[in-house]
Amino acid sequence: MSKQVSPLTIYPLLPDDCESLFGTSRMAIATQLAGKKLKAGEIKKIYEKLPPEFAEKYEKLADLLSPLIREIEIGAGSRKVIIGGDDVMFRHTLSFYNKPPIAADVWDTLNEAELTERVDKIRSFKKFYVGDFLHLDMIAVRSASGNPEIFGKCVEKIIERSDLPLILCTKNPEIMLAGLEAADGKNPLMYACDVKNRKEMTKLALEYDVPIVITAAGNLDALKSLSSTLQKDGVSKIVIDPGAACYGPEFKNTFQNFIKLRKAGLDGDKDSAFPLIALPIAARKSSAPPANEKMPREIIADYHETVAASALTVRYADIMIIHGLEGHELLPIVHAADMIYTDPRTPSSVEPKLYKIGTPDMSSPVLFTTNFALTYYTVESDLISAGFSGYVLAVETGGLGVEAAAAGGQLTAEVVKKSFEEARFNFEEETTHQTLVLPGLAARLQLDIEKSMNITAVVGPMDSGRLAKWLEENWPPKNRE
Amino acid sequence: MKYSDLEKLFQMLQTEGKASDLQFSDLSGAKGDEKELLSRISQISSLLGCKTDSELEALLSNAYPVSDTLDSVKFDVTGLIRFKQPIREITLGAGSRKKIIIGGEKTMPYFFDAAAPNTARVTMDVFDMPVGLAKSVRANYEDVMEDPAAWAKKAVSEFGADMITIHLVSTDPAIKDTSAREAAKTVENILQAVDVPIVIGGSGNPQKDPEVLEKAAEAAEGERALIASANLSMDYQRVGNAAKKFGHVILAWTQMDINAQKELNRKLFRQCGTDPDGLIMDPTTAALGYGLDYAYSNMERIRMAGLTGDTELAYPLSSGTTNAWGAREAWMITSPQSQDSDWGDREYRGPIWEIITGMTLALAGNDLFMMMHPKAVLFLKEFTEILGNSAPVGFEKMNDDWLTEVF
Repeated sequence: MSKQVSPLTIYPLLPDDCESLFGTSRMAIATQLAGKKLKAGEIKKIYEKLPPEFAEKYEKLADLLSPLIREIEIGAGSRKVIIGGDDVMFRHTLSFYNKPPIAADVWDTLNEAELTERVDKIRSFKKFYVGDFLHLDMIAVRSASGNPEIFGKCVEKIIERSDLPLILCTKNPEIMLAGLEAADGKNPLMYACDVKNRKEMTKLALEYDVPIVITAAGNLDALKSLSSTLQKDGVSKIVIDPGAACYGPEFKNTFQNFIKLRKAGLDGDKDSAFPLIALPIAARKSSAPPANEKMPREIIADYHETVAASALTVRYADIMIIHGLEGHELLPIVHAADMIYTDPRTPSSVEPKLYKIGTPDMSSPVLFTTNFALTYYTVESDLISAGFSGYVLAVETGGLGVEAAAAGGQLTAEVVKKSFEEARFNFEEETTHQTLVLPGLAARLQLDIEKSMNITAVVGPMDSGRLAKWLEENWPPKNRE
Repeated sequence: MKYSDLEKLFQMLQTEGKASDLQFSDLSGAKGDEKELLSRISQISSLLGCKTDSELEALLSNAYPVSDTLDSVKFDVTGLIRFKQPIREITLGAGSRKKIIIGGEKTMPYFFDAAAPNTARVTMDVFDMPVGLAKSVRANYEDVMEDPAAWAKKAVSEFGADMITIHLVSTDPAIKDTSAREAAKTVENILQAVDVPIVIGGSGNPQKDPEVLEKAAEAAEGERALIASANLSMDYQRVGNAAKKFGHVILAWTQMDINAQKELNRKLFRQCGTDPDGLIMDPTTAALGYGLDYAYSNMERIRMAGLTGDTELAYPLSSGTTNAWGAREAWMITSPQSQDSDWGDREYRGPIWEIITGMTLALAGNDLFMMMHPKAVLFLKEFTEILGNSAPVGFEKMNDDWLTEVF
C-alpha cells in the first residue's frame, strides 16, 4: 500500500567515503535519502565523478527511490510545477510531496480588458502565511467560443501577460491544436483526452511532447483502458481525471474514485500510478443548485467549490482547477493545500526562549506567546510588519496555542514567571516601563502575573494581527515614567 | 505547414539514417521564416520520397502511429488492510431525549471498502451568559443571548442542531463565579427546552470544573449527556466518576497527543470504571491555518490505531470545530498584512473557515462536531451526508458542461 525504503537497503549503494564526498556519514546520507530529505537527483553529480561501477549503483538507487506515483512537469521556466510523486495513503506515515498547484480559469469569450483583468487577478493573488506568501499557480484556459482561432489568440494574450503554466481545456482536437501552437515551448497540460477524441489527442500529446489528462466521466474501467492505450502509443506524461461531480450525491463517486485510483496506483497498477486532477470548477455548471432563502446562488457554488477543493486536497488531488476568485474561496483553498502538504515531521514548536525582534531597546514592548510554531511565527511577523522592535518570549507549552494552553493549565502566571527567569530577563534592569503585554487570549492571567512578577501586566489584543494598531494606541504604556 | 512539421520530417529522416546527407542539421533558421520553412520541408520530403502534397500530408499524419482500438482492461482495487475491529458505537440521549448513535466505523473515513453505519452529528454551542462572538455568528443569536433555553431551542428548530452543548462559562471564578447549583439549574432549563441529547461543558477552569460538572451531571441524571470534559491536568477522576454514576458519557480531552489520549482513556477506564460504551475522545481541534494539519494527522493516527487493534483508542471522536473562529481569517474585516490580496467579505469567509476546519477533520475520522454558525452547520451536514451515504449513486451528473460554459 505504500513504499517506504529502509536506510539499510540504501546503505550498500552508497560510496564508502561519504564523509569527504557529502560532508556527513554514510548512514546519515542513507537516512536522509530514505526520508526523502535528500533526492537521488541531488547526488547524481557526485556519482558521475566516481568509478564506473557506481553508475549501476546510482541506477539502482534512483529506481529504489523513485516515487510510486509518477512525477510530471507542467510549464516551463521559473514558474513550472511538478505534480505527483507520492508514496503513501496517509500523510502521517511519511509526508505528501509536491503541493498541488491551483489553477484558476479564464475563457476565450472574455473581451481583452476582462481577460487582462482576470489574468492579473490570478497572477497577483497572494496571502501572507508564516513568513511567506501563498499563491495561485496556474491558469486554465477554456474554449467557450468553439473556435480554434479565437482560442489560439486568447492563449497568446495570456502568455504575453503571465508566465504561469497553462492548462488548455477543450475536447476538440482542432481547438487544442490552435492552443498548443500558441503555447509552443510552454509545456502546457492538455485537458482532455476521452474515448472519442483519443486518437487525435494522443497524436497532439506526442507531437508537442506535453502532458495530457485522460477523462471518462468517472468510469474507472474506461480510465484504465485509456491509460493503458496511451502508454502503449508512447505517451508517458498522463494525468487522470477521476470525475467532476463536486456537489450532490454524485460527489461521493468522485471522492471515492480518488481514493480507489490512488490505492490502486500505490498497489502497483501501472495504469493508475499517475497524478490526479480535481475539478472543483464543475460546481459551477448551469445545472448547479439554485439560490435559497439563506444564500445567493453564486455563494452556494463558491462554498461547494471550496469544500470539494479542500476535501479532494486531503484525498489525493495532485492539481486542481477552480473558478471563484473571491477571498472567501481562495483563502481556505490555498491554506488547505499548504497544510496537507506540510511535512508532518516538521516540529510544531519553536525553541522556548526570549526572541529579539528588530533592534529593541529599554523602551521597547515586551510580549509573550507560546512556543507553538504557528503562534510564534504569526506574532513575530505581525510585530515586524507593524514596524516595531521588541522582545517576544516563547513560553514552553508543549507546542500548544495560547487559548488551549491557558485553558489546559500549561500557560500560567508561574510558568510565565519561570520562563522570564530562565531567559535571564529582568524587567527592572532591562526596561524603562516594567510592563508585560499579555496575549488577549490569556487575559485571565493578568492579576496573577502582576502579583507574582511584580510588574504591570496589560492585556493586548485577542489577535496579534491587531498589535500594530494596539501598540500605536497603547505604547508606551500610560501612567509610567 | 509549420515548424513542428519540419522537425517531425527531420526526425523521420534521422530514423531512416538519411539525415547525414543533409547539409543543415540545425533547423532553427526556418523558425519564423515562411519561405525558408517551405523550402526545407520540400527538400526533406523529397529525400523521404514524397512526390505530391497529399503524400506529404499522409506521411505527416502517420508520424505518430496511434492504436486503432482502445484497450479493454478492467480496473480493480483491493480494500485497505484488514482491520481488526470496528470503532465502538456510542449512544447519546436517553430518558426524555431522542437517541443518537455515533461511531461504528469499520474502515478509514468514507473509504470505499465499508459503509459507515452512522452519520456525523453536529452539536451547537449555547453559552450560559452573553459572550464575545464574531459578528457574523452573533447576528444569528442576538435575540437569545440572554436566555440559554431559548438559544438552545432556536439552534434545534431553526438551525437543525442534532444536539446542544451548554457551556457553563459563567462558573469560572474569573468571570462570574456562578455556583455549581445555579449551573445545574441552567442545565435543567436546557433539558426542558429541547428533546435532543446534550453536551454539558464546564468553563475550562480546572479547579472549578469538577464540582460544576458533578452537579450538572446529577441534574441530568438518566438523560445520557456527554460530559465535557475530563483532562489530565484536572481532577479527572471526580468528573469521570460523576459521568458514570449518573449514566452519562465522558468526553476525554487531550491536547494533540496520541499518547496522552491513550493514557487518559486508560485512566478513565481503570480508575473511574468508565464503561466501554461510555467514552468519546476530543484530541483538540486547531483552526485551518493554525495547526489544523497537526489536529488532522493526530486524529487520523488515533483512528488508524483504533481500527488496527488498539482497544483503548477505538472510540468515536469529537471536535471543537468552533475553534475555527479563533483564526483571524474567519472574523477580521480586512487583512492585517498590507501586501495581502483582498480577503473578501467576512460574512462569507467566517462560515467557510468553520466548514473547512470541520470537513478536514471529518476526513480524519471525526464523528461529532461542536459548531456555531448555522451556514457552517448546513454545509458540513450536507457534505458528510453525501460522503456517508451507503446507497450506490450514479454518474449521470459527471458531464463536462463546465468546459464550455460561460459562468
